[in-house]
Amino acid sequence: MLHQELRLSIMSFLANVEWANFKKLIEVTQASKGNLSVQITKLQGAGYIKVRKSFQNNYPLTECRITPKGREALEKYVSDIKKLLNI
Amino acid sequence: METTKSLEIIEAMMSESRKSLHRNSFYFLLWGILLVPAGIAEYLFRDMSFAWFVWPVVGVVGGIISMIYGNREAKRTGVQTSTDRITYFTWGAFLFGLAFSIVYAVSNNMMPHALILAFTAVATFISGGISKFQPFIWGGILIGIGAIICGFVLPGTYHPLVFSAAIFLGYVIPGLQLRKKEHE
Repeated sequence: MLHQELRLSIMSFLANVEWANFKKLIEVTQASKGNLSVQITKLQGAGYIKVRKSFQNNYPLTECRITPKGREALEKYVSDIKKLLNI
Repeated sequence: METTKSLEIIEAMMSESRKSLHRNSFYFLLWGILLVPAGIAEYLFRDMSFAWFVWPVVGVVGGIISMIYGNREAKRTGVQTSTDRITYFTWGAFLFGLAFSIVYAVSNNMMPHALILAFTAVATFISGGISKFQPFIWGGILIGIGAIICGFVLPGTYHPLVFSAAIFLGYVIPGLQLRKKEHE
């Protein structure tokens, strides 16, 4: 699940903040709206992130935050990579 | 995706998250601009019975502007870090301390400055520590010294002046330094 560039970018960013909105994730990952939306749905489906949708001044607002399960998965992924690279 | 690429992505995203800092200098400058003249005004009008009234006015005005700015800032950055959360809680607790100090002091015919400065010193010192910004740590210490002077050294007449001086040195000057750093 995490061995995909955009999903890993989203997870790595969210692991270091409390929450980020959709606009911020586009800015940091440089991804297209469509692609980001698809990957966010996949991460949400896996239970790695929580998504809260609301409206602000009639504009849709999507806030994402990492879940404990997602944090654990990211930590395991990093540790597996370190083992592979002998770091 | 190559394994080394994964580490590069993680590192890049960590670096991006560190850039996501809110412009907190606004709060220090806003409260400084409100509190320094409030202290001076209280000293100048010390013989008038309504002189204490500047404090609740300053508290309400500062609170409303801070809330509006906070909402706008959250929209602008689109992100909240753990540092932001700790900062909100620290200054939220400070607002309670500020309100408590004013009500307690006024209802007991005491000068509130020593208590307000003590709470401000704690919040400024913590802000300096969590944001790793040295001028606020020293600012907190300076404001703490102001609290001691008001509490134990000088008579009440001079407390508003000590208050304004402590806020200017320990709050406004570090706020200006932070603003400069934010715009670099």
